[in-house]
Amino acid sequence: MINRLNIKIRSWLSNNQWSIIIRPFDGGTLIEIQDPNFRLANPVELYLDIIIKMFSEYKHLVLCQKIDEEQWVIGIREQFFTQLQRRYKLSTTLLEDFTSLHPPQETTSTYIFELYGDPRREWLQEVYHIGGFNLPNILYGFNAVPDNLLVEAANANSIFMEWYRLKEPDNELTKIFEYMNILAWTSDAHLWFCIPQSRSLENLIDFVTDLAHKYSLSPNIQWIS
Amino acid sequence: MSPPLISSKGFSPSSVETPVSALKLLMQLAPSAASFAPTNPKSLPSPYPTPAKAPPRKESISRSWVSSNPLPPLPPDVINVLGWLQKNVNVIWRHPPEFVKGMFIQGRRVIQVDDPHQGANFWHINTDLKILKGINHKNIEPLVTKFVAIKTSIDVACKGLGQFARSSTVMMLERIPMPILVVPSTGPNWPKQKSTIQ
Repeated sequence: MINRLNIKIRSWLSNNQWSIIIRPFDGGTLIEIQDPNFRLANPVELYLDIIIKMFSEYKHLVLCQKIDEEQWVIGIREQFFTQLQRRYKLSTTLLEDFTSLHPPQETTSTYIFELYGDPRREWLQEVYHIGGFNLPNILYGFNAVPDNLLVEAANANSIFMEWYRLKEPDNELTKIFEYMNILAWTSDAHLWFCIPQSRSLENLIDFVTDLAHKYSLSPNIQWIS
Repeated sequence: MSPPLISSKGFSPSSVETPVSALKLLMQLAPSAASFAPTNPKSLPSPYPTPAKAPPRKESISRSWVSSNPLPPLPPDVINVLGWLQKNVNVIWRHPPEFVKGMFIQGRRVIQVDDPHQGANFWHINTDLKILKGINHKNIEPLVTKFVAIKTSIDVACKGLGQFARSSTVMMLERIPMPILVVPSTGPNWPKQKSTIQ
């Protein structure tokens, strides 16, 4: 009892609240992991821990990362991407938008960098960024590799963007599960997951609780029906 | 250094071949002959006194930026004001120096206005600056609504005052049949010989 009270007082004093909102809908579950309020630190490391945990059940991962070279200095574009391909054996492509299949113009500094590989932290931490845009990235996890991954990722992105722009209800997101097994994205510095209803949340909650201890946070898990 | 036009042995053949050199030679030998040469009219002295040049004005960066990028006028209703803010309040520190890296959470947006989407179903502010984290993702709709209401009431009041001033003073004076309009002679902007007009 005293110990609990002590933890509560300490978390209140240090303002280490960390909110996680879980919202089930017909066919799936939405999980919003907010950026913790701890000493203005960068939450990327924390987010990568959760992404690796959530995607570890799947063999493959596609990351669609929006890049603005004027905000994020990557040096020479070709050199950066070639190094990533060689070092981590990734398939990469550049697209002009999330829903496009066309390459960006040579002169533009803003484009989508799409990577396909196994879910590993080593390469994700070099590319995964959360700032610069309100929707900087979308991630998909899957086991069976489709015939044309690029087209299916663009289809899934189109469905997602319609929902994200408030044009479609939540249950439209379940169409993505025809192509992919799990969907994640970062929006306004919050990490989101959309998982099928069949997937259990117990592992995630246990993991998040442990992670909160690691980062000295006080988790606040809310269920919204 | 240009080669001498006249060598110790006489004319240098190469220099006489070119018309410009020949003209220079004429100017050196006989100054009066140079007056026949075509001259640039701009080089002639002007018969009028030269106006005093204004000292060069130092224009600050902000002034030159504002004059080259004028903001469009603010629209009157709330939805359009929000759209206006989204279009015009868009400050991104592009190509920043390395030392500012620690001030941002990865991106380099200083301030941006974003429209509603999933997770933030209202007009809000986005910033990557750590120091502005307190206003990040905050709903700005109530603030803009209040601002538009205040601006509208000021506009209406000023318009009403303007109408009152026009109708009650100038228009009314014009309508009153007055045979003589007396104009004060001691006003600073009035010429003294026109003290009365009949």
